[in-house]
Amino acid sequence: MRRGNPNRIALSLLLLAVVAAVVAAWFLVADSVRRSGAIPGDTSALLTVLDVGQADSIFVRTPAGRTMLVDAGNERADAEKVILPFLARQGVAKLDYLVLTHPDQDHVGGMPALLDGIPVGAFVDSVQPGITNQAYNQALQRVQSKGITPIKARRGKAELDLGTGVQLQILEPEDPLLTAGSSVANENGVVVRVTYGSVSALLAADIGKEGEERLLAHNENIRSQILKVGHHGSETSSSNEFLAAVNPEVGLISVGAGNSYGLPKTQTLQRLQRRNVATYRTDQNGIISVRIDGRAYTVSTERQGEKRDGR
Amino acid sequence: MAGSRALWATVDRIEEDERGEKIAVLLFDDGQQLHLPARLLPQGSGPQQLLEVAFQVDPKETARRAAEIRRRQQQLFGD
Repeated sequence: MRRGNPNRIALSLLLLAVVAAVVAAWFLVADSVRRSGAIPGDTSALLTVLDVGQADSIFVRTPAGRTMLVDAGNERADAEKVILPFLARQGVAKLDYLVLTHPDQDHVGGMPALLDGIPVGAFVDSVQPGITNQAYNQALQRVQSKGITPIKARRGKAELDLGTGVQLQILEPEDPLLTAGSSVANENGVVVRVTYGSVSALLAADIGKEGEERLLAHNENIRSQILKVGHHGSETSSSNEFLAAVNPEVGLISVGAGNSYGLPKTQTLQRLQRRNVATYRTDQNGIISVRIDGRAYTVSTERQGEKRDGR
Repeated sequence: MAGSRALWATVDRIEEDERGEKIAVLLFDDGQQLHLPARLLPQGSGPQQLLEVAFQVDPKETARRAAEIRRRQQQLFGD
């Protein structure tokens, strides 16, 4: 019986371990690509405002294939007929993060159906007191029963990993939560800023005057080329001071055609126009997508063939 | 509920939903519609009748729902 050279055996074992590690890494990457629908070699990030009528739902996918959905429309049909089919078309089999900006129906209404329709890694919530919304109750119930990781969104305290090269900041809310304002739930909504390279996008939820003032009080850099305009273009959002701080080039407004609230308000559109912000609206443009390559961005829309490049 | 705060809705029609349940379509004068199970309508009411709509706060149910949600929040997020 021949005995092997101990050095050769050790080398073989090392080689085997390296091969196993490479194969495991490949499977992990392939699994990540399969779940997120990312195209191998695609180094751009995607931000899409879905057309869910008078409601919000925004999808983000990063170059690393991490996925995040912010809000889920107004009702079950928004999840079943708009959001889930969109995610399927994108090849997304799992959401890494599901963010609920605040538990108003036009943001939480589709969440129970969404949670039934796709696996979610973590549920990010503003955790506000005194809430009675039943869709929110049902969403929390599903987060519990499915063992989804709960994350309480607080300024600077919660970290979401969107992969290498992409930074996500939770700018609001912060403790103590605001207790005054036209809508306390709106003012305490989750505001996030996503930065990839030199391009940033700020998703302003439904915050209004009080929420904007609280954010501006930090006197930090929130400049963002892309702004998901707050509260569907409400007059009490997007103040001149707020727009000056964000300094957006593109404003994305999620709004329902012929909505009974008269949104977006003319005054808000004028404030955006005065700053030469190119405005896109889901009621006119349908789905709005922004592709970011880290240095520049391209806006494309479902309807009216709109396209805009910027950097 | 009389006076300026009164609100009326017409029972516009009765439909069936996909599960075969009867659904009443209530129509308010500004065109807004409310769909609800026909079994919730007052006895003897039907299409073309006007219903006086009244709202009242239910403190007990409000507290029960808020407590249920608060309990879930605490279980999930702590505090």
